[in-house]
Formats: sequence, structure tokens, C-alpha cells
Amino acid sequence: MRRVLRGKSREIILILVLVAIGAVVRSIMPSFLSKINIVNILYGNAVLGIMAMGMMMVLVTGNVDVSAGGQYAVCGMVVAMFVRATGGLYTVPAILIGMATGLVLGLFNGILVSKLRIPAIVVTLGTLNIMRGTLNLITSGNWIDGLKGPFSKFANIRWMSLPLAVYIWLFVLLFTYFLLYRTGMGRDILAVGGNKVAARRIGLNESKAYLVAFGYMGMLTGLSAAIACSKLKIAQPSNGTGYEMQLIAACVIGGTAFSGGIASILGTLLGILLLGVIDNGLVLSKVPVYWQELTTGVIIILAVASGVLKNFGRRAKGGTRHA
Amino acid sequence: MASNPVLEIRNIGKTYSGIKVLSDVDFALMPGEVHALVGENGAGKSTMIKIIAGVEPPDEGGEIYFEGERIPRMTAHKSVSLGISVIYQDISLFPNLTIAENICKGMFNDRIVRWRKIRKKAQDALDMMNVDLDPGQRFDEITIGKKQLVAIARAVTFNAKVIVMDEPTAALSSTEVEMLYGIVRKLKERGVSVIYISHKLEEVFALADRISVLRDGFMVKTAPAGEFDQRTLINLMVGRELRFVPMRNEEPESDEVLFEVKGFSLAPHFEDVSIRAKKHEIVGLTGLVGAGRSEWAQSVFGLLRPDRGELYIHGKRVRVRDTNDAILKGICYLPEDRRSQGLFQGNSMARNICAVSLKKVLSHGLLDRSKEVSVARNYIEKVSIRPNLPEILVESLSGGNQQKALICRWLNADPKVLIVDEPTSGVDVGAKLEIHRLLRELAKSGVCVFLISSDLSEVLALSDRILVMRQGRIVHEVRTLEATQDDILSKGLLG
Repeated sequence: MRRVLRGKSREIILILVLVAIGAVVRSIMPSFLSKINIVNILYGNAVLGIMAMGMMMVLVTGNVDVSAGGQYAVCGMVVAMFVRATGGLYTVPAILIGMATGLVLGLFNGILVSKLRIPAIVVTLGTLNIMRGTLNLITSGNWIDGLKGPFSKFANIRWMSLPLAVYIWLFVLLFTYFLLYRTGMGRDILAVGGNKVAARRIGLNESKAYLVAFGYMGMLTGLSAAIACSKLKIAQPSNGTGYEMQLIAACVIGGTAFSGGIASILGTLLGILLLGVIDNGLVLSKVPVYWQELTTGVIIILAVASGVLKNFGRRAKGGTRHA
Repeated sequence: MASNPVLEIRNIGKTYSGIKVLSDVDFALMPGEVHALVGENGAGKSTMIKIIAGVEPPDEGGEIYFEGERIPRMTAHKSVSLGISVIYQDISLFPNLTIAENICKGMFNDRIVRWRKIRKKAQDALDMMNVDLDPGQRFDEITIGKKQLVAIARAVTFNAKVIVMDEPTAALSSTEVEMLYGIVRKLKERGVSVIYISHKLEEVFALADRISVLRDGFMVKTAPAGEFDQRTLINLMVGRELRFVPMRNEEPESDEVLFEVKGFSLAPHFEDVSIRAKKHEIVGLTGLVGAGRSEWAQSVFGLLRPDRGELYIHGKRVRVRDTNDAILKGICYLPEDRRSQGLFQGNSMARNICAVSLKKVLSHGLLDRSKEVSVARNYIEKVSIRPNLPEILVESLSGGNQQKALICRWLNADPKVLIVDEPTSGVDVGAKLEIHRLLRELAKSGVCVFLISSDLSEVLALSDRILVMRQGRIVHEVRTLEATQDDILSKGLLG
């Protein structure tokens, strides 16, 4: 047991915080812990939860992707156009088209970052604007709504009262675990994120790691966009505004390091749930919605500060290294 | 044992921005041989290793042979695939992965990771070396000594034929050093050749079959270890000639103790350092890299926080909160690495010179560029920086002129105590002399100067008094007139 728990202090704290918030909200609003509401929270956060795995992968390599919201909007519009044109008859092709679109966008980011050696935050800030700008140009800002057919129902197909979207989320979590801990590629991504210089010295391919990470992020964004289209039956060019920050927040709260090399799938999941529960709890408790942003901000700072404090003792005595 | 060298380099030279750091170096490594490479700091050992590892190409005309075969273009990748494994001093591995993965990274190219195979391979290497480590532990959780052992285990696992160890014992405890000796001997038995770089001569004599001595980029001598003793080895490392004109204090000796530290300690860098220094005095502080000299200076200057110790200026107790506070109290520090720690690149020389005393160039609370330029011009003339253009970008100056500009920065801050850390490294000889003259003049004007330098001839030429630091302690103090080079060297190296 101790071995399982080793190095998981942050995850344990997050679970305790979740339980504490749950208890508080429930005392105000007993319906909070009802089955319907819990399913709602899960269903409502599946889209972000899936994308967060992609963001985590990018952060592991020591990069960041702030174009997530743009990718999400582009994928959503592409999927919606396809669904409208086909009357929503072809669900799987629609999802695959979404994922393929996302993959292309993600690889585009990855290529720019690895070939031009420009910091990812700059590259993706640029591509974010390119994506949103192009999308607005093409659609003139118009929505696509009234999506019909089998596609518009797939996300909410229920099995044991949970919607399919939640199962997809679960699958993505497991798949990401497999990718990161059981494949050579995943280990190389972690190694590159942990020490770029050492990776280079032993001939690991940095660019490949970046491409895989950004491509994975894009693909999952496409998947999420398809799920959202099915759920909401509408897509609009301004979709996903601010998602990138929520994703980064969830990852950071969950213990993923901005400097790369450290990831926590459970932590990221808990980060998403924490943000989702706060949101949901505040709505149920009829607290004005502005409080949500404020609480989110405080939690991010607390989460990051706890990580910094943990390392503080080690760093205080440093001295400069001499060659 | 075969008589053909496993690795041989011939006629290797290396020039960095016009300065020759290696000249005509020949070196041969026999199979199963432990070959020690010794020399002072800056003798060219690291450069030679970088060339062997393929990290840096040699100048035209140099040749590298591996097992008798000429390697026309050595690259990092090539050297690894030939079986050359370099364990760098900074042990660059992956902090976020397990020991097992660090040992095996790059060995298996399985798409699906087979943890059992990796663990087994790592465990085999650790067992071979008799090292008791859990391969499942994370690399950043172990001590630096253990990291060193992991790096060696990695080389063993990759069946390296040549292992280069660069100061492997710098951070090891004495039991770990013993362990390392055992491992090196075991590697030797298995026919692995080791290039062993160390400053600690007792280690060299304990392990090496042959010793090669580098001095100022030249290979001075290669011979079986038995042909050397410590004294001859030191003489070869240092050379006999004195390269600088001595510049002594001509002022009458002052009685006034300007600067004093008592019991300065900062684990693990230095311990119980007490120094008094007078007006007009230049105190040389020498010793090996890692002896704690720079850390001591940084603690005085407020960059590091000492665990213990008191600081007095003019006999008055002074507490330094941070670097800004240190400067206000008259303590200034010229750092070792001028590019990363000294210069504000992308800014003019004038701005660099005025950076720590902005108050002098304000008018009505705002920065006045013309004042900045005129202050700078003043110093430029005084220390003859070339070209004498205050508004030139500081990085376009030569190394020596950059260093002079940085010294001017501190002159402008009206120091009482100036600590200079390797002030002439990477500077040509002419500029070295000018910097020496500048420091001497500064001392003459009443400043107390601490000269941290690994270049003994510089310390001997410039200092009035020399302190030798070794493993964080001051082990020797001597007035320069009484000192000789090997006297100091043997105090710093052997003890």
C-alpha cells in the first residue's frame, strides 16, 4: 500500500479537497450528490477531460499548447459541416474527420515548434489566432445548428446510466496511461521532457517526441469537438474560447510540471473534476457565477505554490555550479 | 594483451575564436588500460574529451583512430556506437525516470516497453559492480555519488570499450570512492579501457597504469605511472616559467583591517572560513575548482546565504541582506562567467558600466543618456577600452575589453572590497596584463581586492598574500614573497 501511495501526496490532497467541497455543497444543497447530478458533472466535463490528456502530453515534453481552443473550434465546425451535409447519418466517419482535422492542426504546431525552434507558447499563440481568424473568415462568424440524425445522439447513448462520452473519456485516460508508461515512445517523451540535453547526447529524437505530443493533443481535441457537437447539436466559430487556460489549470493543479518530464493522469483527472465540481457546486448553491473564476484562480495558485514549497528546501541552498 | 591501441588520436588541435586551446596532441589508449589524464584547469583536458566524444570537431589535420580504423568524422552518435562512453562531470541523465530506465535508455527499441527486461538488465549491471541500489527508484531521489555509479552502470550495460570519467570522485564520499576504485579495477579486468581525469593525484597513482600530462594545450608527457612521483607530476603540470610580471604593493603596509570574515560556513561548499584583509592589499585565493572559493565569494556578496559566520567592514559588524545591500555597503563581486553572470547583452557598453550605480546618471529622477555616456567615456579612457565607443553593444567587444568594462562597472560603484572571480579567463595575454595593472591601481587607491584564480602564475604575480583553499577550508596561507608555485600546488592538491 505504501508503495502505491509513494509520491502521490498531491493526488491524495486533491481527493480530500474534492470530498471536503462535496460535503460542504451537499450540506447546502442535498441534491448535489444525487446520481443525476454526478452523472451530469461527468458528462459535462468529458470534453475538457479528454483534451486535458492531450495538454498533459504536450506539457510533459516541456512545451505548452495555447491554441487548444482554436483547434477545438475548427474541428467542431468541420465536424458540423460534415454532419449537416450527411444528415448526421455517418457517426463514426464524422468523429474520425474531427480527429483527423485535429491531428493535422496539432502536427502543424508540432512541426513549427520542433523545426523552427521557436518556444511553443509563441508558436501556438500565433496558430491560435490563425485558426480563429481563418474560421471567422470562412464562416463569417455564422453558427451551424440543428444537427440531426444518429450523430446527434451518440454522445448520450447510455449504458448503466452513464453516457457514452464518459466511457470515451475513461478509454482515453487508460490509453494515455498505456502510451506514457508502456510504450517506448511514451518513455522517450518523458525522457526528452526530463532532460533535453541528455536526450540529445544519447541520440533520442526530440522532434519526434514533440510531433507525437502535439499530434495527440490535436487528435483528442478533434474527438472532444465531435462529442461536443453531438451533445449540443450546434457548432460555432467562437467555441472553446478560454479552454486552453482551463486545460493548463487542470494539468497544473494535478501536478504536471510546466518544466516538463512530470505527468500525472490521475492528478489531471482530479484537476478537471475539481474545477467541474466547484463550477457545479456554485451553480447549485446559487452563488453568482463570478465566484467560479475567483475560486479557480485561488486553487491554481495554491496548487502551484504547494509544489514550489515542496521543492523550496532543496533549492534554497544551491550555489552556482562550476564547470 | 593486445598491443594495438583501442583508441588513438594524432595531431589533434583545437582553436576557439582564435585562441588555441589544444596543439598537436597525440594520445593512445590501450585495451584494458587505466590511463589518467592530468593538468591544470584550462590545460585542455575537457576539450580533448569533447573531441574524443565527437561533441566538438578537431581543427583540420587531426586524426582519430578507433581499433586501428580511421574515423574521418567523429560525431556524438558515432562515438557512442563505437563503444565510447563519457561520464560527464554533471552526470547528465533523466531525473524523472527510474534508475533502471536511466541505465537502459536507448538500449532496447521495443514499441511496448518490457519493464522486466529493463529491470533485469539494470540489476545485472548493478550486481556486476556490487552496487546496492533499487533499480525502481527515481533517479532524482539518489545522491550524486550514486548517480555517478548509475552512469557507470549505464556504460557497462552498453558494453563500452572506452569509458571516460571526468572528475568522478568530485562528489563522492570516501566509501563511494573505494567502491569506484573497485569498479574501475573490475572494468579493467574485463578489458575495458578507462580514461580517468582527476585533480586528486593520490587517486591517479592508485589507479592509473599510465599518465598523460597536458599543459597549456600541449601533451607534455605520457609515461607509465611508475615513472612519476607526485613532485615530478606537479612540476610537469605547472611548468617552471613565470608568465607575468610581478606587481607588488608599493604602499606602506596599512594597519587598518578593512575586511574581515569570521567562521563563514555554508555546507557543503565551505567550512569555517576566516579571513582578514587590509587596505591596499590584494589577497589571492587559489585552490581547485570546487574548493568553495566562488561560493564563499558569493556568500560575502549576498548571492548565497551562509549557514554561519560574521562579516566586518572597518571593524563594524555588517549584515548583508542581498546583493543590492552588499553593493551599498561597498562589497562588489566580479563573477566568473562574464557572459551569463556579468554582461547585460544587447545593451550598450555605457549602460553596462552604469548598471549598478544608476543614481549617478539620473537627472530629475530619470535616466539621462548623455550622463551615462559621459560617465562611461571617463572610464573607457581611464582603462583604455577599445574601441572607445560608449554606445557600442557590449557583446561586440573582445573578451578582455568586456572584462574591463565589467570592472569599470564596479569601479563606478565605489567599492571598498572587490572580489574578482577568475578575472582573466578567456582573455588574451595583453588584456590580462592590463587587467592586472587595473586591479593593482585599485588596491593602491585603498580598495581591498580578493583575487580568485586558478592560474597560479597570475596569483603569484599579483597577490600580496595567498590563501589556498581545499575542500572548503583554508589550508595554507603564505606571503607571496615566500611562496613558490609547487609549494602552493602541493598544499592545494595533496595536503
